[in-house]
Amino acid sequence: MTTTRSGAELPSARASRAPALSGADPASDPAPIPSSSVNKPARRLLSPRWAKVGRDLTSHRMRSLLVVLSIAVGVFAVGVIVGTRQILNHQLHASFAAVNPSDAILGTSGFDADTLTAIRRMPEVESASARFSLYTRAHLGDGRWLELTLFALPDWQDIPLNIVRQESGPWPPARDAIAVERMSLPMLDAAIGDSLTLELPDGRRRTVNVTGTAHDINLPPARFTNQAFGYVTFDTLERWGIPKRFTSLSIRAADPASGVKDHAYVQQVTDLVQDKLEKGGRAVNFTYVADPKKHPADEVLNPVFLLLGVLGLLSLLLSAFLVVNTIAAVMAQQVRQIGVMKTIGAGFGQIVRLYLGMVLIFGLLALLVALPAGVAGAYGFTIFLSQFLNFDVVYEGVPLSALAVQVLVGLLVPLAAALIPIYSGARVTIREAISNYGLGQGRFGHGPADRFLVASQRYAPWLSRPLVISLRNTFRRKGRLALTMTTLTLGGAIFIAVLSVRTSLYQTVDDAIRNNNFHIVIGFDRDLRVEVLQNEALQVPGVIAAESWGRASTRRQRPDAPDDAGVPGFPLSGQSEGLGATPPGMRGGESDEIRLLAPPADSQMIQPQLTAGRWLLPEDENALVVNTNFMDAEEDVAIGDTITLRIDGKDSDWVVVGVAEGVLDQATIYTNSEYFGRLTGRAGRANSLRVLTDSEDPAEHRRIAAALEHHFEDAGYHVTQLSTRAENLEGTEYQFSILVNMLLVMTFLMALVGGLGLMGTMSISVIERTREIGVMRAIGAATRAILQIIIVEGVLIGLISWAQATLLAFPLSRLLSDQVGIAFTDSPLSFSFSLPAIALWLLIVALVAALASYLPARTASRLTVREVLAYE
Amino acid sequence: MLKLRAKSRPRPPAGAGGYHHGNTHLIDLRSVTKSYQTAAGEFPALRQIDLLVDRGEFVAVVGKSGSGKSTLINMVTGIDRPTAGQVLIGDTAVHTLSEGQMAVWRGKHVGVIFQFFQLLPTLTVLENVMLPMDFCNTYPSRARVQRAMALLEEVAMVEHADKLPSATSGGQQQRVAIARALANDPDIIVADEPTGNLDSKTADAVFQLFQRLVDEGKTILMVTHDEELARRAGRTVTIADGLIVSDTARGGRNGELGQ
Repeated sequence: MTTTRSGAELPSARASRAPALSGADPASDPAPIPSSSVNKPARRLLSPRWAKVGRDLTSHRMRSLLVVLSIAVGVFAVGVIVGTRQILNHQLHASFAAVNPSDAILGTSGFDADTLTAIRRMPEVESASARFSLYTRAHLGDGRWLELTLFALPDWQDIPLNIVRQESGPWPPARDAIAVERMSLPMLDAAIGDSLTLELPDGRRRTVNVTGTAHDINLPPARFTNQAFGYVTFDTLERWGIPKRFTSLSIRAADPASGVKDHAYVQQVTDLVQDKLEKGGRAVNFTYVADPKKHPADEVLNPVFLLLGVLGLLSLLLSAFLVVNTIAAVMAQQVRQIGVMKTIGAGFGQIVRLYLGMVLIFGLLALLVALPAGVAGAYGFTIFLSQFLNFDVVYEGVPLSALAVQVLVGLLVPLAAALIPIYSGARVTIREAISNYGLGQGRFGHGPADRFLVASQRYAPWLSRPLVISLRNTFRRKGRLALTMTTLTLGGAIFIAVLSVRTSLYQTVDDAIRNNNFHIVIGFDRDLRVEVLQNEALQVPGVIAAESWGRASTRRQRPDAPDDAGVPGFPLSGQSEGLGATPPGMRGGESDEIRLLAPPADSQMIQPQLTAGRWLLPEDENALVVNTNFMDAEEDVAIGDTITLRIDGKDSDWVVVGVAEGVLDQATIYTNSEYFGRLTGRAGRANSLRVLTDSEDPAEHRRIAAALEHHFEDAGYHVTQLSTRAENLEGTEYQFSILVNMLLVMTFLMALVGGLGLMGTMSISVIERTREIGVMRAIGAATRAILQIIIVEGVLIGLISWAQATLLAFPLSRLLSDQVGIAFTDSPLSFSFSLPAIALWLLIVALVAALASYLPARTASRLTVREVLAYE
Repeated sequence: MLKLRAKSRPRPPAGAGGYHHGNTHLIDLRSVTKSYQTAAGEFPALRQIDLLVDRGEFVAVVGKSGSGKSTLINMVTGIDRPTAGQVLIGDTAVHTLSEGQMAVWRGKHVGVIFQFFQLLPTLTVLENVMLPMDFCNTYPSRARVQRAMALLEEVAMVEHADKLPSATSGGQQQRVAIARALANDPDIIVADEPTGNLDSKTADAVFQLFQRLVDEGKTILMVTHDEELARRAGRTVTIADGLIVSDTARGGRNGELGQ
């Protein structure tokens, strides 16, 4: 008896026969194999079928790497977006909740501590806090002025609502000292320890020391509004001769009996408080009612995340296309192996599981990259956003739900994508599988496109043979071509669409500028004679026109609501006298604050884009043109309607004659200055001036604005407001640039997935055609010819996709531009299709295609004829 | 002695009792017809073939290209299904099995050897031999390595167990393919031109190995073009135009045509 190496016993006779068999072809026994072909650990760790999966993955490293990277990019994009949303939801809302946000804010002409106490006693009010605000201008180092709102608080340590926190320096600030809101400090070009010159509304200038910073999460980002915020004490204000009073009241409504504290309920409580203030002789200039428990930025963040989320999912979808292509290629390449496995006992389900296992490994490897990158990206993106939302991000561990979403999509999307190619590949019968032989795969010559290509050769005999091969190879695998093309086309179309949104955003700004054809606005502390103002302005070099416009803040007095127009089941009725007497939700029928502008009848400085009706005629008296922002707020108004406006406390009736496009504007109404002057007792007088200069250069506008201010001050007219067009649009452009940059990052990811997809496809094509390449080499194809055939094919795919992307980009750009406009400015953007983006994408796609096909082409061109012909 | 038997496998009862379907032979093809639809119309590959093969027989199937040899053995392995007729292998009416049942049955009862070896290129020699046991879940997983090594020992490939197929010669690969065919200890070995791609010396060695398997009780059905090899098999079935035109046992005895 002989014992085998494995310990099994064999009859000695059999053992003695074995050497004869093994010695049958000693000459054909190859040399000792290199260690790389030996895999001892695998035989102990893995069953052969899983060893096969592992080695199939590693035997085509480039292909596997591309698929893994492609999935990883898609999963990363989804992870960053979901993760950021989760972190933001938690941390922003926690930071917001920590300052005890109010439900509503009322801006008033002024009230005292007794009024505050009375409001706090109202049963519908849970708590209330007050502050004083003063609009000033801060002098910047370079001679410019920046609007700065000063706040004074009654109790600095115990603020019931909208808490402001000390960030650095003494709190409260000392007399003649200011604590600047932390996001305003960079805009003031100031540092702690510097002094700051402020100009009060009456023109007096006072110097304060910057002694610290404060954090007020409730304020809009300084760069968005292009104005700064700071805190001083009432002591400081008293030294400036400003008596102690409050101008703004924040309230939190008490919980209603029903427990449902919604916007309508808070509005009703706010109306009650407004009533109380007004009955006490305090004018209420504005009210702001928040959605309970919602951060004000949610309104902007939700569409942003929706948009980014859609792009993230799209990039994931595109990466799934590469999975489909790769798995289809693997199945085609391994059809014979599938046949063999079935022959030796593998069932359909086992084959399916085997290849699904391969896809699962792709997914798991992609997760290895995408999970940590996604978490880091989510924190990075949150920190980026926190700069604009004015809150601090702290590391609170991995965002678990984002992680779960990533794991889910990272595994399920590739598996779902691979199901069809795996199912159809595993269904192959043994007979079909074993009889599958010959050169290359893919059908060419059966479709109309193929026939066209073949026929076109007759008319273009000058096409080189390699180029003909490239052309025909492109259409060989039509399903794969379709998916690769879809990936690149969508990537390209979104790229162009995003850049078109960018140009549309700037076009919108341009339109806003065109609507208002002036460069500088100057405000004065009192009404002045119109002729004097205009003549003075025209004396300043560079000024070519000046117009005085009347302006006012007004509210529409809505018609009384019918008795049954209340909110059904509203719980407050009868809680107090006031509530019982007024239909809920419709108190007073008063609109939010509306800007009224009264240009001269022959104004050259307004060029409205009318969407309905007509513009004002010189003979119009109580006629109004409203803008689309007004129409959005007051939906019941139509052309020809008579509406009631309250101006300086007096109601007057007006007829709506037209609607103008409101581009980046607030709710505004226009009327003739002459009638407006008569109505308000300010005929021939105005407190503001619009100036047109001879230059389009923002720097020149700033210079002329400074010159105008000097001129008016020297002439004894005190300027309280001075802004150039560029300064007014700075905040808007800044907001747009943030959005555009976010979209561009997503577009880059899409382009990356597209590039990986093309590289994957080309790599698959080359692998499949290895034997063909060998044949071409054997019959004399030089390395250059092989490179050319493959690269031209890749570039051809890129160019076709570019043409398709260009066609698709137009409707997509329009859709995206409309949606971004509606989300951010409440109306569609002024659409402008970006032609440079088309050229840029052509350049990118050609480069990506050339690079994507060069790498597999180089690999193919390096193979020897012997290697490729032996390839299976 | 080496225990090459699968952990559980029904054995046909010996003697006159026969199998469940009334067949008393291991392989019983009854009026098997196979036609293919081609562009030129219906092509009959097999026409009402009847064939009986007993346990331990070594049958060479010969014929010209396109005569129906491969179709015939594809009927036995279940790789292809008859258009009409019955294929009874032991207890199993193969033509009635679903694809899934067929895969399991084939893995356990039939070992297939191809002309081009068809080893999986990414698996080592040892793993290739273990694969059928893995798919059919025969033998406890720890015993599979041991059994595969023993089979490789039998075909004198144990020294190459950890090599990839590409690192071995054609003759060596065919020996590995034979070991793989034996992995689940099948009753029947079906070989399609097993020596067609080998030099004569190696082919002879492979034939000797087949002979030894027959001596151990395996039934072998071998398609070959090699007349010399066919003569050395126990029985030669000649096919022409889809019909069995002769069936000769070594020494002149007529084989069982079942007619």
